[in-house]
Amino acid sequence: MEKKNKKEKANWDLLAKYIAGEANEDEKTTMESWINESEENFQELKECQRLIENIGLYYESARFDETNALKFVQTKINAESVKTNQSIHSGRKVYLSLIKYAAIVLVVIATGFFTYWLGFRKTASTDMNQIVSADKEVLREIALPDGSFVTLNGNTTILYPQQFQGKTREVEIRGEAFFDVKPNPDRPFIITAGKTKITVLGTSFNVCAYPGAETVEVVVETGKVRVDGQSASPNPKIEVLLTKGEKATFSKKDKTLQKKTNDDPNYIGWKTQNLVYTKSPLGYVFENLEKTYHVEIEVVDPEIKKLVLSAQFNNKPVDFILDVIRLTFNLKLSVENTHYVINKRNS
Amino acid sequence: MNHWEGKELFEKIKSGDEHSFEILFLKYYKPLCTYAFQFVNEIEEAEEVAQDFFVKLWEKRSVIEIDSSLNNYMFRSIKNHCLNLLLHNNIKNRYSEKIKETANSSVDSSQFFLEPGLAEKIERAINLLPKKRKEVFRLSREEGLKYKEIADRLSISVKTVEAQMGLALKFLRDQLSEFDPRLILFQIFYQSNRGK
Repeated sequence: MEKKNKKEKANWDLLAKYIAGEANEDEKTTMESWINESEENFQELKECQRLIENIGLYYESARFDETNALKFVQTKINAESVKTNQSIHSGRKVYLSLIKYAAIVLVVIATGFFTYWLGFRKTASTDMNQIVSADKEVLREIALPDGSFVTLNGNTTILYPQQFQGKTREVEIRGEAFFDVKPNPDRPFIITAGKTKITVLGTSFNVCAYPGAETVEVVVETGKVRVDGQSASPNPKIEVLLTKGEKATFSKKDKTLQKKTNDDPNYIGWKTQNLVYTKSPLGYVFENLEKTYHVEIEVVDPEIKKLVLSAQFNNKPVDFILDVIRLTFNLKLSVENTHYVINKRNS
Repeated sequence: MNHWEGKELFEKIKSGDEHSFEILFLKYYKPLCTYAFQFVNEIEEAEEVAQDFFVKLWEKRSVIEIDSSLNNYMFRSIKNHCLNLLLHNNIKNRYSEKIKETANSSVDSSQFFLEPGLAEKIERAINLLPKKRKEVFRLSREEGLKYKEIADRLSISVKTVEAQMGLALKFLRDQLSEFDPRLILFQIFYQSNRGK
């Protein structure tokens, strides 16, 4: 035992280096000959590797917060009763003219998780309202307590307090939504979506946050919006200011936030059903239609996706649009429920 | 949780006992997320998989039949869910190697969580490290930084990082050595002899 300890003592730095993949060629050779010296040494290395691996898993597991997640799962389980609420809300639809309120329009695509919605959530969670839209359902103009309105796209959850308290108006979103926010410069309206916070420094906006997306996107129609992304832990918070026509993209993988001009005229098509295509490849058009109308479009021959379409559709049903595409490009179209299959005519 | 405790807990859940569901959730949420993370490589997605699993477990509790242990059932469900998800998402090349590795590895990392109390013991041992050593070790093992990066970050020399890492490894190995199977055997032997 004594002897073993002595031998190991000399090797701990090197052992750690070797396991961490930091050893240079010489050191590797030294380690390998040490390993080959005895079965005991070999076992020691194995044990240390296993230990380091387990510690890695421990660090990984420490990032998950089971208490908050339990709350979320419990609300989800109770979603049946929430869905009853939601139909009451949607029954009281208020149609506002977009122009009247929409000083700002922004779209967010995110993998939002309630787990990350810390902070105000803790203080207000007891008086939270939750509205969940069904898979392919758009819930229009739900009134928020401050007189703002929100439209939810399919499969979307919004969490907001029964009364906004304090100096801000904060809501949480998972999925996609459009906000018409009542102006109140003294109390900024803040949306949390995944690891991103959107602060509206003025009047009205639209948020859409889809689980599963790799990025969070914010597009501003008019007005001014601040987007805060959570960066990699050692770095300070990152933020950008957006004005009309600008788009911020937050990459969840790289934790970077980029600002550029929005070049997608259809980013809010899911709500308005006004779609504009200017020399757009059908691949993009179909993706766009799938999102706007909550349908599935299967393209049998990938060549079809390369065809280019220029057209404008205002509030047309998806069958109409697909029929136009079918006639334009002489394609074959079949449909079953919400599943469309498109193919070349001759195949 | 052993086989029988698991069986008992699941029977209670089946009968609609919400408290038992909470117990199970709080005990297994982190391990299942960590396990899912091995496949999906995204924290949010891992949480989604685990949360979905628990939602479905509750909703379908009356029809779920578990023929193996609850442990196995949970980890297997998570694994299947993840693999389906990845298949469905038409996985990108960057992860596919890691996934294959994880899916095929004979030493399933779920084993880690089945060692009762290991996570707590690791936490305790890490917290016993001196502050600076703990930070060096954390930057290496949690954030995956290279020695050079750690040295830059903390304004210390690479040699110091090496030394701190070596000391940390030695300390943790000593602290956690009771998990060495050889030592466990030794203890059993020792205790049974002492009992005579």
